[in-house]
Amino acid sequence: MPYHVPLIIRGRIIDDADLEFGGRRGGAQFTTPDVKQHLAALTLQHPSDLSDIHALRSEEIFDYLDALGQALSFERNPFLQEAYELSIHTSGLTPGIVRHLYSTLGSLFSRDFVRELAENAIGVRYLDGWVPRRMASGCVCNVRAFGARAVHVLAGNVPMPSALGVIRNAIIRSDAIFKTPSNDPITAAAIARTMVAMAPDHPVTRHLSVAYWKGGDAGVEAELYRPDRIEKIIAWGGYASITHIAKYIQPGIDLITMDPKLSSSIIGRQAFVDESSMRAVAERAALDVAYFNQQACANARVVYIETGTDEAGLAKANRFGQVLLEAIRALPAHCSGAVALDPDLAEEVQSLRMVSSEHRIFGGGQDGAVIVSQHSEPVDFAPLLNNRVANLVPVPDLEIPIEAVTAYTQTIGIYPDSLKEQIRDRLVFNGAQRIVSLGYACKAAMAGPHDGMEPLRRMCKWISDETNDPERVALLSRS
Amino acid sequence: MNTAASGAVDRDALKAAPHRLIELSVTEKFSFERDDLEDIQLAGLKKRFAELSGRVAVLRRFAEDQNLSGIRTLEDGALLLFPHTFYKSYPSSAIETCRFDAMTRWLGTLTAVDLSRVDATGCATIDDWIDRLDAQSDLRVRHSSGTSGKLSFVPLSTIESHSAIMGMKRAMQGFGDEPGTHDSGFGTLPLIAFGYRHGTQSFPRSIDAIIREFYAGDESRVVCLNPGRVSADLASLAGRLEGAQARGARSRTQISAALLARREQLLREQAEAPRHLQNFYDTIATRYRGERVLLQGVTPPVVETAVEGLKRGFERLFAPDSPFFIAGGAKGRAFPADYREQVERFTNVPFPPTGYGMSEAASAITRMCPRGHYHIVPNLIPYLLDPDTGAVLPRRGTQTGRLGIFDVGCQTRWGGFLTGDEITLNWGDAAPCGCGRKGTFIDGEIRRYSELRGGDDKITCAGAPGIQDRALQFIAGIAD
Repeated sequence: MPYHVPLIIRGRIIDDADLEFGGRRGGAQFTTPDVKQHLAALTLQHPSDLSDIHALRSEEIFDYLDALGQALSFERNPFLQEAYELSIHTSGLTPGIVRHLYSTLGSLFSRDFVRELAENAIGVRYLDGWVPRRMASGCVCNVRAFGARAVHVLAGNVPMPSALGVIRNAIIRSDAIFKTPSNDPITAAAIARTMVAMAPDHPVTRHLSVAYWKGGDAGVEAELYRPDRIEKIIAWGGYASITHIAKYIQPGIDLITMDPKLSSSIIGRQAFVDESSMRAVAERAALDVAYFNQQACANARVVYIETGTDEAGLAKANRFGQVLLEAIRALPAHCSGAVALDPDLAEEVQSLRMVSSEHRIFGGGQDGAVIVSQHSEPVDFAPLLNNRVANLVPVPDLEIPIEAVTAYTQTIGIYPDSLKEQIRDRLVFNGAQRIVSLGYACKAAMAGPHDGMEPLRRMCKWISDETNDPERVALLSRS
Repeated sequence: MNTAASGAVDRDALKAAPHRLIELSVTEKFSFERDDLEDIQLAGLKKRFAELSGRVAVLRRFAEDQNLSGIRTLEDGALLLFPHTFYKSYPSSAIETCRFDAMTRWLGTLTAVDLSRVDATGCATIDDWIDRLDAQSDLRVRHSSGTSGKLSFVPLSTIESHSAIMGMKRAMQGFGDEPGTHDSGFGTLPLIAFGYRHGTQSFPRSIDAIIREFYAGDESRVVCLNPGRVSADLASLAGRLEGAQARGARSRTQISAALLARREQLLREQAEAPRHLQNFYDTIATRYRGERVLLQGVTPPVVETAVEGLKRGFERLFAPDSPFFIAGGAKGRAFPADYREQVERFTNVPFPPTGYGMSEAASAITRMCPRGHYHIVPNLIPYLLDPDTGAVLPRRGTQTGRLGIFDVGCQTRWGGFLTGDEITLNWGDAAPCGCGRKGTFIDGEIRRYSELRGGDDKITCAGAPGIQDRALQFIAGIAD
């Protein structure tokens, strides 16, 4: 029985049920209006239609977001409840995790948090007015951050990007069209419907649209991705979604990609001195592996452990494998839960168990697994690791994990912090984008860089207005 | 294979030696009543389990894992289907650091062939290692050409190689009164092979076995598209580069010194390829024009060679009653819409019914029947599984699912394997194929799950175009 996802265009809810799409992961099918029938309304008629939101002061926007956060209370919000019911069937996350995510979604919108984000990432004064800078030459350069017309191509593995997109779009006073993914078309729609119910005529509500179309549908994208209509495309997603978009990039359209990456952990020898130290570190490592059921880019898949690879070292590594598995299974329901493995991964793990003499495997089935390599190499299928299957790789020193970092590495969780300071620069040279204390990979600071760049700054248009007085700064013809 | 005077096959002989199902004529193969055939197949499955569970370590472990101490029913076979990943479950580093003794030990767990006397000392490349295995054991390993990631190695032996070409020979026959040739031409006609002469992929292995068994080793009446060797090292490097690319680490792929030392040779072979191609056309046109020949190949090289040959002015080359054996479909390549006509015009031989087979089996090869179906040969026990849960689908009517196979023809390794294909299987009970053949058949398209689910790892026996060239470029570009 397919469920229905509305099309939301700038405060208007459109409920036709023209088209049917299948959910990913063999999950739910849904009906939604045909976006092609509404393309003219979907894009802003004229760029100066941003003037209403541009006229707001940041504090007014923070007020709106704070109120929205309160309205996104899971207990009282029927849209979030509907989204929850559907997510537990289509995502790889267990009900406990999903419930926690939806229950805490509202807190992201709190006034203090969004103000901190705006101030750290941009500086509120740049949003609210022109900031003058007197240059050495005598020129006064006034700088302001303006909003842009944007399309956000969202990811569906966790609900955060939808919420973050709404917050970022509001802070920088942009106009956003959210293209939702087929494995979660409902979270962004739930937030938008809450906005419409709360304040249908508010400029922030009026500058958000939420739509589903199949990625690559040229009937929509060729019309939409034109520099006279769109200035920025913010794309979360793998290679396949980027290739659909890449062909539309041209002068006038700025593509900002947040692509999926692989993350890992590095644990120094201090962790393995005794059993109690191992247990404490294992809890932290378990969080980086298994929070969000390992579905997020920030989750660790390979965990390098500086135990050494001689007999004593392997014994420590295998013991840590057992302790880590116990720690994963002991995580509370709002962090992590038992779930079936993807068939490809299940086959790979089974092959190792049946055929390999160079790996020991603890656990298996639905309740998580830890594969301990008996030599200093990760398993060949490391990119497939998911749903609480980690690969421990014992190493004699840290050269191996440092050299294993590539351009496709995102987050590295490190223990202890002293080690983190020691090796962080080299990790960045090799491609790492984010370094954290072990255990905090999934507790994003969210107030700064993301994926190696500053997305909020990039989503703005940065404009300079230069004032030169011929008395102070000679005309070029007079110098 | 003797049949009784009345034409009935000797069932007891088949139960005692189930691989002999492969040697039956096509008419005999597809005339079994279901109960009779399943009786023979079950005896075969039991026999193989009894013979191999003590000698193939992975089978023993797998059976223990499944709590299976013996085979009682055909359905028990579904619990012991090896996924293809088993055949590539060696650590990549063993190849990268030339630890071929470790590779031999790994392979030993998957075969009943005794590898204890194989000494891989001094082997510097995969090609060396496989040659060493050939020289020091009865194993005739086949490697597959994965388009991303690792090479797989399937441990067939001389015994299965023999069964494979017997099956090929029989597959040329028609059923009953159908046109087909009972004289397959193996050994009697010149052999024109559209592939490499040497190498350890399925195709050159077959050619090797055919020349040895049917042509008494006489190469003079065999013409191959490329007289050289398809290198497992190049295929492995190509796969590793694609895998490294996917991890953002392509530039850091390490090449062993030995492979680097072969660089000149590999680049020279690549440079020679155009000359070999022209030589092929010249040879077949001058030596065999108008003659009856045996044509053999997988579809992509046959089509590419025909299209190019026509451009160079070679056409209507052979006698139209030449036996012609083509296996495999398009395998993701884009062929011209009229590819069949072009092949016919090039060869002067009607485009034959395509064959379907699986490289993991001893012999799976079967040609499309006049109704457009692939009938499953009797040495294969088919299983259909739910692709998500692995549950076995009922053995009746028409079902769609993931195909698993147990080949009673495999004698030195476990013949149970899971394919990556989604098929619709008709059990031949309620709605038999109109061609007259009895038994199960594939109804409709064969689709790979990796394509269905948006993945991009394809195992092909013809190899993907271009990736080996890119591997060569990579080697060529390494600074000395």
